Amino acid sequence: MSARREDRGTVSGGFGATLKGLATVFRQVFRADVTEEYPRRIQPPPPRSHIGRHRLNRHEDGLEKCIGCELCAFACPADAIWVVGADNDPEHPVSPGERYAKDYQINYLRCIMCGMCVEACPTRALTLTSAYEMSFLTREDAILTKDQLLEPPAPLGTAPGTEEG
Amino acid sequence: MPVERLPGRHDGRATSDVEEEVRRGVLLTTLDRAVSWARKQSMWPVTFGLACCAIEMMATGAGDYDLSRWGMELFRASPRQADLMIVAGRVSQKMAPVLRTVYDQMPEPKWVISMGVCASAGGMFTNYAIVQGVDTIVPVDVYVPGCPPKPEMLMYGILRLHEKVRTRGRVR
Amino acid sequence: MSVEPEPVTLTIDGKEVTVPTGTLVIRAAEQLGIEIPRFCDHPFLDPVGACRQCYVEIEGQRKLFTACTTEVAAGMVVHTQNTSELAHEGQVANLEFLLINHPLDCPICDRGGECPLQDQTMAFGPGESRYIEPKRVYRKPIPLSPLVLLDRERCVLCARCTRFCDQISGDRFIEMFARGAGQQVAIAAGEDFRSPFSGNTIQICPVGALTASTYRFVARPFDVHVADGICGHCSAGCNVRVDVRRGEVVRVLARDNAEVNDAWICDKGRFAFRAADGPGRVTTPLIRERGLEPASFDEVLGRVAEWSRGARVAFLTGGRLADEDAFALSKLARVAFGTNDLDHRRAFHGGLAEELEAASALRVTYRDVERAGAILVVGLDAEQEVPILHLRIRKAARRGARVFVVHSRETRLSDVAEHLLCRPGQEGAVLERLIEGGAAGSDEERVARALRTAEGAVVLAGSLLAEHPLATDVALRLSRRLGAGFALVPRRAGDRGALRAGVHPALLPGGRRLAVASERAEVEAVWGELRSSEPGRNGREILEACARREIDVLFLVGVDPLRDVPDAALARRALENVPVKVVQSLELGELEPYADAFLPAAALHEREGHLTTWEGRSQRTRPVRAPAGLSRPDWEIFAGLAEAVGAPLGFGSVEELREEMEALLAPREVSERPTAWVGAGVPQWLDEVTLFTYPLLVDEGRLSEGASELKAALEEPAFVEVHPEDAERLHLADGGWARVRTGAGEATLPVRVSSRVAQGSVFVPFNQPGLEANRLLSGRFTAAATLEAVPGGGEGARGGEGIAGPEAKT
Repeated sequence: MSARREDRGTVSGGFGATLKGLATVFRQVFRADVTEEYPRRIQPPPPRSHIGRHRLNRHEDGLEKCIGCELCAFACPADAIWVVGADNDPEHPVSPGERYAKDYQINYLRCIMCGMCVEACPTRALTLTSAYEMSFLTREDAILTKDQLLEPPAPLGTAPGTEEG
Repeated sequence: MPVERLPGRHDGRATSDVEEEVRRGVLLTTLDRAVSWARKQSMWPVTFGLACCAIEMMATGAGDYDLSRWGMELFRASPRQADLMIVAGRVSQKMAPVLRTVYDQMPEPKWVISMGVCASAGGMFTNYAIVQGVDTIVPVDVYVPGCPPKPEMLMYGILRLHEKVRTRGRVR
Repeated sequence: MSVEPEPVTLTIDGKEVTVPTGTLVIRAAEQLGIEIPRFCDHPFLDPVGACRQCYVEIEGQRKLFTACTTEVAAGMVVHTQNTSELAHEGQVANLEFLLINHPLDCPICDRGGECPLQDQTMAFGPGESRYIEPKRVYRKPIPLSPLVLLDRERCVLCARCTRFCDQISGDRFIEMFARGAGQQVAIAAGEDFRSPFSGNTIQICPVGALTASTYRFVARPFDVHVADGICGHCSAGCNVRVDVRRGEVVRVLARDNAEVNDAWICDKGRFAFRAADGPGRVTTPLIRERGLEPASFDEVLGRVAEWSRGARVAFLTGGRLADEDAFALSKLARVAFGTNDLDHRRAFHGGLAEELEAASALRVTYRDVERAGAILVVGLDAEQEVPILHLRIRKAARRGARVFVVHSRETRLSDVAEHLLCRPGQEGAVLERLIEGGAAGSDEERVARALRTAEGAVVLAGSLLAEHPLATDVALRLSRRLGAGFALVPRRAGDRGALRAGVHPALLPGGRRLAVASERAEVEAVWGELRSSEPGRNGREILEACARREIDVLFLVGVDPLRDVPDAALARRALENVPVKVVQSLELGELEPYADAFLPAAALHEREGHLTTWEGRSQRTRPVRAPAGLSRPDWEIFAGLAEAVGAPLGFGSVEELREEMEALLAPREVSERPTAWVGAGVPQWLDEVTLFTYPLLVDEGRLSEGASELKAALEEPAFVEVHPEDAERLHLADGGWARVRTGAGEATLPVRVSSRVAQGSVFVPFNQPGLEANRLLSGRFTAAATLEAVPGGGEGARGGEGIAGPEAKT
């Protein structure tokens, strides 16, 4: 302690400290870069990540897994999900069974991506993806409808706007 | 920027080539584009962290994500030096007038990013205490979902804003 | 009347409870707050012990007992699942058994979220089933009627629905069929569940076996807003729960209230809920400029005030108004406009009976009806007009009451009641014969004796009695003679409240007579001096005055005279001749070409208020959503209008309004007066055939717009009902067509030959598709008619053209 205090007073001590500082900076130049270069290089999200939009799944025969039961809406703590059930036309069913979702909307300006809807879903129709590239210019855009949710999300780095950066 | 009032437009003198271009709008579009490009290059956000989202906003500004790649590392404490407001967190009814004052104090042109669902639409706080969407107080350019949005989501939102400024910017 | 049963003390789960003899163990446990799971048990149905879920252990007994069928005994020691492992095991095993064939399709079941089977499986049931074999499969759902869907897979055979039909509504459309694993609820082939009470089976079904087609996949219990309301379809005053999803009414359920509707409501109350959400609803004030154009409330009220300043003003109201609205209107007319030309009635009872009803409340209640020893129903088809009263009369009959009906048409009480059919307008004469004891050996003598000897008799008078101006007073006199209770039973929900509030040309609030200075002074003490002490015009006289251009501004509050008044031609003449028509309603409908200003009113479930039942019971209804668009509660519009004419009513909130109301509407004694005597035995109608009409439960009337399923299930096209002897005389055949001619118009209708209708009279429903019967009427609900067979007939009912000549038939 006391030696340091003496150092500070001297020219050599001050200059030494400056050198030391510069050396730190210089050493840093050769170190690997830690900055994530989003969107130029996109770090793949962890395998169990679910910070992204939902997806409505289909059975292998093309029928929707969603039966419009509204349990996701019940589970949602933010009241972000809107489901309207309807009777399936037996000739052209949308989903197996009597009931299907006539309308299905998720408001991403309410959704907190907690995944409780996914837990509640009795048919595994609703899952979360890690397609996090979402931002909206209007509130209306933030409500994704059933058609949009049935589509697989675009891979990361392909959303409009990411070509810049 | 008083481009419309170039001399020669109103005083009936013979039009020059430049004025011809002005009339055709070519020059102005190019100017628009140039100005917009310049504007989006280095936006300075005003510090407006209100809740948990602010932590992610700080992370975005820090070395790991490094907003300075877009020249945005300078979070200003004074609204007079800022042109972007990132509303990060739920806005309580008490905060609303403050937020509006800060917004009013920012010089034109200015933009607002509503970060996270609480700022955007009240999120899960569907109650009397929280403003149900900051767009009820200030005009919002980009809404970023998430609770909170991870830094990439915010950066994506910033990129959307850049795009908006670049393509829809108008010299006023 | 009844002797109080001996109290019995028993122990349940270590707690002592004292209950009357005959109480069921499950009820005694309820008193202690101990919940025993159950499916088949329902407090308003007889015990049956069908589901076996309520097993309890009783000390000293070798096996488990069902708590819902076991009556208490002194010193009995009962252990429920809380203290007995055996009872718990029994319940778990029974639930597992009930679930063996249950499809467990809760996610798509409309009951999901409010299902007793779901709840009790979670609370008392096994976590997992050991049953892995394929389940029994049925076709699902099968419609029992356009309203009720049956899913047999989900049924646990509790027999609540079949017991309801058997014991409560008395129309046994559905029944348990087959035995064992194949047992199921069934209905006769080709038959529809055409009961006006069918919806109750849906509500009491403890699983999702019976569901409503109107609610199929529509909402979940957690995403609806709920408010406690009062049904506005008739004067029964059923307590209901209104469910709203995203601002739209999706369901109406009955609330339990043993004083009023027990646990039941009729299908109209349950399924006719879309009127306020229909495309016809207008929610903006309109003013006639070039056409009807939207304007602000202030502007319209200002213009209306301008038109009516110094003008001759009259008010007609319908049956929709809440008590507060009626009171505000009564004050508005008298204080702000100084007129007594206001009326809510379609049938004009007049006399002391009406005054009594206006002055008092709860002289006869549902409970009195239920406990009565004898009930005399006069001029009232309870099932069609006040259905819940019909159920109460049936309940009384089950408890041993003798029921008699004096009417021109046999009602659905026929299995429990004795009918004295008479020609319409003759009821007064029949009543007088009853007063005199009846001729020796006649039916009337027998009825009179039964009424006299019964303990606690009740006389219920319906609106058809008003066809004779003095008949209600005769009914009142009969009730006095018998020492019986007496009630006038109006049909519409707002009628009794409007009468109490003085929406009446001669009666002020509380039944105070305008013409009697002392009674008027009581009102003037609150309202200030009234400008006119002359009784005003009644509904019919108002229309006549309009037609003669003696009225300048006519306010039509929730009423469409073209459809509601029993004289379509007069209504049209009135509307054509009165200079200014102000319509205040939910929609414009046929009044659109006539209205000069429109004031949008809030629907019943959009506002706070009270409705008065036929008993005089004022019940509060709460809003489930905000008024649509710019619409407002009627009383607020009246208050705004009063403000605009510069005579404020003096209340700014419902509370202030109610304060003033309660002061003036406290029940008061009415001084007895001798009532008029009709003169027994003198026929009132000497026509060849008397046509009479009253509205059926499900018809084309307002407030049931959009209820397509209800109409598909219960609405009948117009018809004319003729007695077999008359049919023979007039050469009319059942299923054929008849041309019905009255002084007002004519119509061609399909004939039903039925001995349900009194000889010499024919019945046509008031407002069924194919006929607006008011085009055949000239001021009364009866008319002299001639009938003539139309060979060949037609495809549908035709007519109501008023004056048009016979139409060509193909």
